[in-house]
Amino acid sequence: MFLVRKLSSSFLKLAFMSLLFASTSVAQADESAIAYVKVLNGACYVESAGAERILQIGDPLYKDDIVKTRNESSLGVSFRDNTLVSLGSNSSLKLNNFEFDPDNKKLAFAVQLFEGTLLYISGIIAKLTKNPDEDLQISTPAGTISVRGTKMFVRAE
Amino acid sequence: MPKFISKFLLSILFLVLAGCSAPRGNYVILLPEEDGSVGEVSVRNDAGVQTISSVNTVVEIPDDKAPKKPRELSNDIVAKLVAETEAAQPPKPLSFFFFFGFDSAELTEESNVIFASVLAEIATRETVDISLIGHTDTIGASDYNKELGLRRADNLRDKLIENGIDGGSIDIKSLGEENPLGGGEGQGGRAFNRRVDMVLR
Repeated sequence: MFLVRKLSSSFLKLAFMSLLFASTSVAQADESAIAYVKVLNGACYVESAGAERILQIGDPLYKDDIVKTRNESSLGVSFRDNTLVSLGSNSSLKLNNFEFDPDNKKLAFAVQLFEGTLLYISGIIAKLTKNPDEDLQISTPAGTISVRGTKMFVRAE
Repeated sequence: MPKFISKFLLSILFLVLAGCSAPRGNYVILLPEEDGSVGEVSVRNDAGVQTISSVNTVVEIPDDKAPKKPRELSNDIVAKLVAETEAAQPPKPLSFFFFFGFDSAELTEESNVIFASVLAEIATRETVDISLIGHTDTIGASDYNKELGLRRADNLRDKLIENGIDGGSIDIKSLGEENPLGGGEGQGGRAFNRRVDMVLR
């Protein structure tokens, strides 16, 4: 009981601190976020900078993150260029590279599906790029997929 | 049954099965986009490459072998394979235009109406992130216009925050006069260029 109380009070402190932090950064856009979690079914995880945590709706995702689903879980994310990606159960996807800066002609979208299923709907990068083979890559253990503006389904094992 | 007939039947059976058997292992299926258009996908590994450009076509990629020749799948099989993953697709991103008066960073009345419909759309989504890009006409110095475009986007962001949207998920920038809409710089064209483009995801 004591332990529970102690734990909950430190949770409270943590929550308070994060509230403080949130209020100071409230109007500051998260420039390095490349995508946001829009759909979550069941428990999904992200491996970010070596640590794994459970995902919440609205979480930002960053370059090099690995998103993972388990049995009977699935998720959907949208990237800053409007690319839409969803993963079925038991899937794992690494966000290898993403650059969306049309004004400076910097465009890149590269993800790696280690296992599972992925549904991809292309966004603005696919429309603007002049070098789709280099700028747009979806790799799987068996081969690399290059895309010219499309919707497609990929499975890897 | 004579041998040649059973061979014949077997080969027909094989053809039928090849057309409708579900793909296995690693594979890619090309799907139609919402507007019915179809793109193109190339699948490549050390042993070879295959390109597909028609709907419901699959390329299977065996381990350590070239991607197989593409084949078409039935709608039923494709629907079954993609169902779980498709159900997790995020809602479609939407674009909105907000217009402003000459040299003004205040929303016009029509823009306030559009703002109300944006709030209604946001209410239907579990979470949103928003991009705002400010634009201006070409009257005045380009530095001034860049700053004016930013003030326009800034005002719209403040209005979103006032309505409970998290500022951390709103991304703003200004292109000033660099990116006219519709190109025309006549009276009507200028009014179109005094705007903020919003993308709601």
